[in-house]
Amino acid sequence: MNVNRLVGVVLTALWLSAGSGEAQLRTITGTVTQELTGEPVAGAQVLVVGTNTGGLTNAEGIFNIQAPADEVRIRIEFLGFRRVELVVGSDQQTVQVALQEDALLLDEIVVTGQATGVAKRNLANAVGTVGVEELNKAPASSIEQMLAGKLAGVNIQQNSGAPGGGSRVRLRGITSIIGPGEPLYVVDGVIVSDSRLDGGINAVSLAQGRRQGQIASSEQMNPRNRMTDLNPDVIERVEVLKGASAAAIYGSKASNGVILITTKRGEAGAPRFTVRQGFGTATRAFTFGARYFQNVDDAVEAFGPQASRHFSPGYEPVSLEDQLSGREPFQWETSATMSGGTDNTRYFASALVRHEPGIVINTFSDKASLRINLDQNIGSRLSVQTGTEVIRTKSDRGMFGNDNSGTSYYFVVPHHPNFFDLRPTCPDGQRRVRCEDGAGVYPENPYVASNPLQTAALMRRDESVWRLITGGRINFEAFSTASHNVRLSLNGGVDNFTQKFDVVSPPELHFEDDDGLPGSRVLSYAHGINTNINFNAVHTFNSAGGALQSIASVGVQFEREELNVSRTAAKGLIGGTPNLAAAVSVGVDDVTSIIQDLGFFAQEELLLYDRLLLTVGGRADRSSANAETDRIYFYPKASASYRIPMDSDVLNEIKFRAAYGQTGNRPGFGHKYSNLETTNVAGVGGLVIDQNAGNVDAKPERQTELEGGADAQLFSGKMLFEGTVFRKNIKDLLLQRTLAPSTGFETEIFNGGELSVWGLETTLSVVPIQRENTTWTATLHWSMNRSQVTDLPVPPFLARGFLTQGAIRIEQGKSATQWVANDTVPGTGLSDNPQVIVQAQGDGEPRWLGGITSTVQHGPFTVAATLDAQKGGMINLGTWRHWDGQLNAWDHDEIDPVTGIKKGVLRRQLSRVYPRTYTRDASYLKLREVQIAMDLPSSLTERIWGAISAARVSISGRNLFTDQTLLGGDFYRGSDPEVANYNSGTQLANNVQWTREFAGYPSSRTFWLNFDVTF
Amino acid sequence: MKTLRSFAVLLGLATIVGACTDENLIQPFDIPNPNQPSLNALLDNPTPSVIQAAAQGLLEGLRQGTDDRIQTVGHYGREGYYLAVARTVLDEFDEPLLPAGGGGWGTTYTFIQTSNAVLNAVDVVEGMPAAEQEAVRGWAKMVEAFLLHGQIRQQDDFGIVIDTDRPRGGELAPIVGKSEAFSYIAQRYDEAAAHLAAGGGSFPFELSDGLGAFATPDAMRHLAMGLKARALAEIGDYAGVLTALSQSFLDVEDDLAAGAWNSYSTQTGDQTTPFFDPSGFQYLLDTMLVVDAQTQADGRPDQRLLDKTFETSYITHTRVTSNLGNGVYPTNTSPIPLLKNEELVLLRAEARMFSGDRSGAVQDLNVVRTRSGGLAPLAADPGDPGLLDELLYNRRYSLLWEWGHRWVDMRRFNRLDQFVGPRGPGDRIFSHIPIAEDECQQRNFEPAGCQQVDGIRTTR
Repeated sequence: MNVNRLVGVVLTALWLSAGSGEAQLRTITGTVTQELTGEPVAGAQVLVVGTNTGGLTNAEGIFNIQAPADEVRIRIEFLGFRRVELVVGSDQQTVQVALQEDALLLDEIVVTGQATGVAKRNLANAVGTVGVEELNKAPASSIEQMLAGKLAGVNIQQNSGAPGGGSRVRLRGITSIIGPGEPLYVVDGVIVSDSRLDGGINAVSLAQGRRQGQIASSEQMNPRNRMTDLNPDVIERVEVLKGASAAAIYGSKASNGVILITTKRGEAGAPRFTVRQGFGTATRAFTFGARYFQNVDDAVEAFGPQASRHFSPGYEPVSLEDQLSGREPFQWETSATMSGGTDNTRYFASALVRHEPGIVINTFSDKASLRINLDQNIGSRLSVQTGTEVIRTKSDRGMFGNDNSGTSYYFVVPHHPNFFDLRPTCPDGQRRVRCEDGAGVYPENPYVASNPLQTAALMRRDESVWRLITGGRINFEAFSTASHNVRLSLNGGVDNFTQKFDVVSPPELHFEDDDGLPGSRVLSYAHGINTNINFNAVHTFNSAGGALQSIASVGVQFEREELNVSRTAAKGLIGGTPNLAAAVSVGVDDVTSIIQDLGFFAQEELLLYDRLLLTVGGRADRSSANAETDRIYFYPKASASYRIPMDSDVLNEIKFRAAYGQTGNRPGFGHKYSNLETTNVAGVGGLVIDQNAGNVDAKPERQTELEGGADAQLFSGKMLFEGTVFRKNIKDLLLQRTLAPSTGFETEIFNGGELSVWGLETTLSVVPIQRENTTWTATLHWSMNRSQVTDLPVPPFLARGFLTQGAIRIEQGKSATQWVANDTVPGTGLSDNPQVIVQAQGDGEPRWLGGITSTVQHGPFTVAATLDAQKGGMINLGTWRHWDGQLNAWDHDEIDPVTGIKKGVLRRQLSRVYPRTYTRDASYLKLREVQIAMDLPSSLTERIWGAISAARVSISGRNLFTDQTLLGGDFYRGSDPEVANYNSGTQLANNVQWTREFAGYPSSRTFWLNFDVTF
Repeated sequence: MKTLRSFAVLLGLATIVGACTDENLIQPFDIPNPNQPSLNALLDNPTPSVIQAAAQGLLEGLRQGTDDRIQTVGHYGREGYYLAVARTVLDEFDEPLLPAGGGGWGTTYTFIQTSNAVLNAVDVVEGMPAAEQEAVRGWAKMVEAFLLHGQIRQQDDFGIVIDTDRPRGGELAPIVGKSEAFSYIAQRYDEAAAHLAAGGGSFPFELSDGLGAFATPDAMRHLAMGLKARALAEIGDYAGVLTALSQSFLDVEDDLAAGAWNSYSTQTGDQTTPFFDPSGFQYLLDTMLVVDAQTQADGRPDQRLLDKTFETSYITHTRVTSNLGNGVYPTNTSPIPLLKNEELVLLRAEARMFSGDRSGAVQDLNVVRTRSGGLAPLAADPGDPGLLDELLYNRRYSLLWEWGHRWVDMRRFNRLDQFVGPRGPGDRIFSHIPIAEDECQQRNFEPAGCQQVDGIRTTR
């Protein structure tokens, strides 16, 4: 049966039935007040159910509306309060309504289409929403950090402790093996980039080889993701569409879910100003510690004969770790907003300046942002909204991550004996971690190629971004009667950023002459433009009496993503001049990607008696990333929810819901091409066959998700329980398999196989106390998911990595994140001839995630906290392996009680035959954020300045406490269980493998003091 | 009026929507790869210029086929250690060797894939004279044989794949044993030489500076024969070695450094010499080289040691330590030898020694001893095993850190147990390197080469 046709027939029937009987009118007058305080509510919306007639309350909370003479139902709505519906008898002229605060936000409107939404009460999907209140508990570097731990099914891991942040966001577990894993970000209808671009540290670190054109290495250098650019202060709310059933309307870009960000807009009224000034600091949260050498023989064994020259018994140890990352920097942030306007013209402007020096010498992140949102009504039917945000970020995140040149700071740290002092001698003859103006004589490091204190002081790695996100929306009410409304909207925007990365590594750095080319400069420019434009037509129909509401929408969306990155690495700076032209050797790297998508969508939502919500819809997409660029891929969706109000004080209402949907995950740019590679041997250029075979049939992965759940409202709306179960099936998986090298190709990308993921999500929101003076709210969530490769048309293969260190093996019937590694036959591990076998070791995906967010407000005081927990998951601890390789771990000399061998020796002996040595359970419990705030009494603020309408002082902290063992995890000293900096870039297979840590920027705790003033 | 305005606005919106479908905004969906040329250019309808470029690409094959082996194999042969980074490679002295990573197979077979494509393209190309086609064929087969030789000396009895020109996605080619691999390599060198002989007066493509002495197909034939002699020596076919050498560029009167070299440069898109390490932080050499060096008349050690090493600070990882800097490649553009006249002289010494011409062998060894090492000539045949010791000594110091010769030499003369452990007795020594892990994965770890290699223990 043709669904569209059915919908058409239904709509026509409704249209015809709607025209009947315009009755006589009467006036109903009423007063709306707040239940707790009795104060009048101004601006509340009053509507006669089943019609489009209604009105607003005035400043005294009074309304007058015209209604049919018969008995009617009227509905009173006001943002932040529970909706009230009541019956007004045919003889009743006045009503009194008391509104209850909507602490659980049951009445908020949640987006369901490109231009439509329904009340959360009726919603058929478990869409996660976070409003401004829950977001801004403690200042954070980025929006993702603010979301961490607050939503079920949303896994946000901070990938780096570096200033400016950097996170990886995964919704409902694994969505693909090698396809992109990051959700789609949409800010006010503008699709924005979350790219991670490494500017070119590889030219110095040589982590990914020393080929001259190998300037960048996004997988090993932990680049910052560009969502960190956004100013968290402008965000009004965030909606998270976690899977295909909710996100189908976004088609082939939506398999990883969609994160919709809505910014604040002006409200009519007197101008309102807010200013926030914050001061903060940070301290390193984890410390490795180093081995203290008892005697010269141990020192020589670990560091070679020359250690005897530097070692003296009973020496005073120096901590290179503390010297490098022991700073407690002074950070600050100033934020101001201005809003106001008239009924027809409204404005909102927000500015932010943030200075965030890091705990490591000379690292920082600065951000400045300005957003202006304008709303203009043109007559009663046309409205225009625009929004523009200009962002400038600048940072230096130090030299971290993998390394083949002995230059990455935390590569040097484990290979440095704590009896050798690397501090410079400053001009005044004193030895300090750092001298003024980069002066000082740095000792040559006889153990590793670089002195990281010198590198940190003298090398510059400036990453600066200018970004403009601008968008607009034109809404036109084309047609409106009592029961019909047709709205057209045109929406679109541009996200345009330029990222400049400028590395200057001066020739005097000790490692610089190691390649015979002293002095390096790397200059990279990335230019990204995302444009999208979207046209929607929405028809709303309300039947007389309110029995039926229908929202039908159709639309078209075009999107283009273009990114060009060009990098130049100049080595051998003549005379030390940091100019690309003044170099002996120049390497160039230039990559462009262009993707274009065109999609059509249609959706019908039917709401019957405000109880039953039925939705059907779909999207048809074509994309230039597919092998067949003119082929259309169709993604349907359907959902239903049924609300059952109960006549009980305990169980007020229960809702059952089910949703089905499909989305795609399009192939990455370039997957479809088979290429030749250029070579250059001393000036003779050539071509060879690229060892990565292209996917000649590249097409999107198709995710089908079925989600079901039940939501219950309990104790007069004081408690809300939401439970969801989902199952995703992903077919036509994009896979990159390792081929037998004898075929001449090393890897091949293809579509094939199936993956299924199922999971549970539960959220319990409670308002244990809601009194005039005191409110306590708490949200608890828990979620889990499990994946399984259900069909694999090729033999099992390693997604990435080697069996000697542990790797993710893609294997039919097994989890897509199973960790496989060489192991030994029991009993042979420490024998003379260990017998090596390959064995599954565990799973990279956590067993479950949980969190608690709670806020207590009493009078002027507010205390809020978020606790975040992860059970299971694995992390490969690369830095620790290096400590042991150097016989330098802090506990090296401790005796293992079972074997009687020194722990450091034992671990090193086991490391190759038993990779679990350095691959540990990553469970953790984290106190994400804590805030204590006080509203200053008006008696005080008036004495300061009469214009102040509200003022607040708060102290807050982020990542204050981490427990690694409470949930059964392995305690390992030194690194954050959450940080898997290795493989955090954009390369293939980072979807399943993100479990490796090596030489990353250490995580920190942050503390802030904030002053908020409103005029 | 109202309706009219609605229509006007609708029309406006329609115009905007229309603009979206305009090709100014929506460009064609078929976007060619802006970053790399397409493989089809070489596989379908190849032109002489694409063939020329691919033939030049094989220079990179020779280069990678050389330098990829030096570090890995040099490490097993106790020539030197990559101490810059405490990678797990050093743990191999402690633990059995397992199939790992690409194991060099990637380099070998990717470039052979290109040489196969060149051979196929030459068969169908239009507008390329027959002599030029022959020159290209000879070059491609020589590179292929060289790459396969580099591979079989790592796997030895475990065998390798030689049947490489197969359709993609088909059944994997069999792994053939050592003798079959060597006969194929020798045959490929012969075919290369025959093609080159018919290759006319010049190559239809460019060669790098390091191959300047072999700039014509005829000259290149001498290189192919020299490389063949090197391969045959490893299987003890000394009659074959002598025949091949007679057709090679062997010339005792010439500079011993004459020959074929892989070039490096600082030019854009190129790379610099990989083992250049003036600060002595990365590629340190084994300190036994100092202990074992013979002395010159003035009491100084072997000139080759003085020329190729320098003293630096101790670098230590996992208890392997060295202060012997690697000066084999003294500048960042130093070429790395593919085959030197000096090696040919040593190959002839070896072949003569095992063909009954021991005095000829002494004569050849003395050329190297005196001219390279600054050592006194051997007055007489030192007997057995003295002459073989002398041959291996000279090969060790003359071919240091060049292609992993030391390890192969010690294996083929059953002397692996004479290695000194870098950390003393008990360190492991391996005779074979397992087949690449990626290859084993696809073969369910069934081939013999996919098992762990326990190795033997050093006694010193």
